[in-house]
Amino acid sequence: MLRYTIHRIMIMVPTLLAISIIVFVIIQLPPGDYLETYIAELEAQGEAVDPAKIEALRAQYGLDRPFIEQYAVWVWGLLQGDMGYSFEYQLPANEVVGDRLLLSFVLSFTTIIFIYVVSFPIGIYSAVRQYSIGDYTFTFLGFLGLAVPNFLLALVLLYLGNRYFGISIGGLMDEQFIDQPWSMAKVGSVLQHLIVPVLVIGTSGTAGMIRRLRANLLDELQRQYVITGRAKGLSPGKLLTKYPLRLAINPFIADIGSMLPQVVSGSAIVSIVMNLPTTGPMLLDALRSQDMYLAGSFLMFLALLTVIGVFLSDLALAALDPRIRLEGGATK
Amino acid sequence: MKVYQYPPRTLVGDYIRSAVGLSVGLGVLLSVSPTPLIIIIFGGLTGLFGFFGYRTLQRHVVKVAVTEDEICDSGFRTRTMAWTDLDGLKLRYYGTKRQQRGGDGFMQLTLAGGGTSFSYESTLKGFRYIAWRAAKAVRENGGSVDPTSAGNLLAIGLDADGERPPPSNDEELDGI
Repeated sequence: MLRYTIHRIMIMVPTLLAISIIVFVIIQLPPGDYLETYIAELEAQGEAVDPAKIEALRAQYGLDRPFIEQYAVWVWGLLQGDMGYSFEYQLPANEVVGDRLLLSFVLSFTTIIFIYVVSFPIGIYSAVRQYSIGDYTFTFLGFLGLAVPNFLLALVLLYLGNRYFGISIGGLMDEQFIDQPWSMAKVGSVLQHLIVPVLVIGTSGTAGMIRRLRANLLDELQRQYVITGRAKGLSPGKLLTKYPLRLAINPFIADIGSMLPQVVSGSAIVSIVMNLPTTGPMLLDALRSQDMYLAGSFLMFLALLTVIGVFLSDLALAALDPRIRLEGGATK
Repeated sequence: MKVYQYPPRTLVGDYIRSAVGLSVGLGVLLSVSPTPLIIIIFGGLTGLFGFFGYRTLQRHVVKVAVTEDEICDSGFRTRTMAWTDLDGLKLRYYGTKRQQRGGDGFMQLTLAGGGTSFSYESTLKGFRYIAWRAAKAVRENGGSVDPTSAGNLLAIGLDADGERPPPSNDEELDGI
């Protein structure tokens, strides 16, 4: 397992390096840079722009340096936890981001836990009790969850919250805790406010996961070895958990990697609708204003989440199902 | 008595991986101002790659002697286990998705019993013979092999039920 872990880490490093190059190239692709956007804004407001000052700013921010040099400085900074400088906020990006990365992580992580906790028992129930009323009900709810866009669900819940309960369910904490240091009361407030966003963001993922687990488990339950086990008198619970469930769960675990970016990107739109202080809305602003280091660092954070998610799911899969695939062989 | 070793050429890649990982980890640790996050991430990576290098060195020096009665593992320390003490055999396969598609990856054989355990990777010369002998010992000791291991034994041409003959002389000298 150690050797396999090392192999996977060695794959992660060049992957992240390649992503960092792509991210840096993409955020540099739009014509001009942040300062040109800034000049255009000033001119639109009728303010005079001093070319000497602009050149000084360009030199100060390193925008006059070659592409490779800018990239190297940025990556070296990221390695040290320095996300660069936000032109728009005139502050180090770490300070601008503040708690947003943490809140984004908490929101994404909680959503994934929610997806797994809800979809696992429902998926098993739907497969074991195929074509029962419960199965039809969950299947209907599942299709509904898949079909309704997250932002629409957010809007509906916002409306219902205001109309029938007189409460605002936007934000991730009560107003008195915004920009305050962390305390137990603040944590409690965040947990309370997490419920609705987690429901909104997690619904489609949960629905998809239920469908996948149900389909995989149904495939396994119809195999000969299950029929043999049943004929030999194995108890239904043991028969289910011993083999079919372990095999059906493989795609369930393999999905961790792909689910992370889906949850994070899905949460961006929901965050805008629900006014959540996560990275999504700030990333959108940073991309629009060509605040390249802030946008690049956000994107690298998302990429890191994805790569770590795939890494963890691969380790879990290797531990759960260490079989040779006969079609692949095992020659070395 | 048969004595097997890991062919040095199969360890070169692991030495390189260990060296690269250690260089990057130590390089970052030594060249930036250490913060708790940096120390946790890169210190952890350095430790992991250092341990991996040590395990590779262990595999480099180990000699596995197999007799009718026991298996003896001599490297940095010498350990022996009688076949009659063997009560656990696990054969696991590890490979990245690409390796699985290409028929690559490696297997790991873990033998436990008599208060000790041995672990061998499939690049070891004689891996197939050791796996066969261990499966035979488990059977003789009245134990059973878990389904995953039994499936993996079948995949490398061995049989946990002992219905197939032992690997031929050529086969037993091959790593997998």
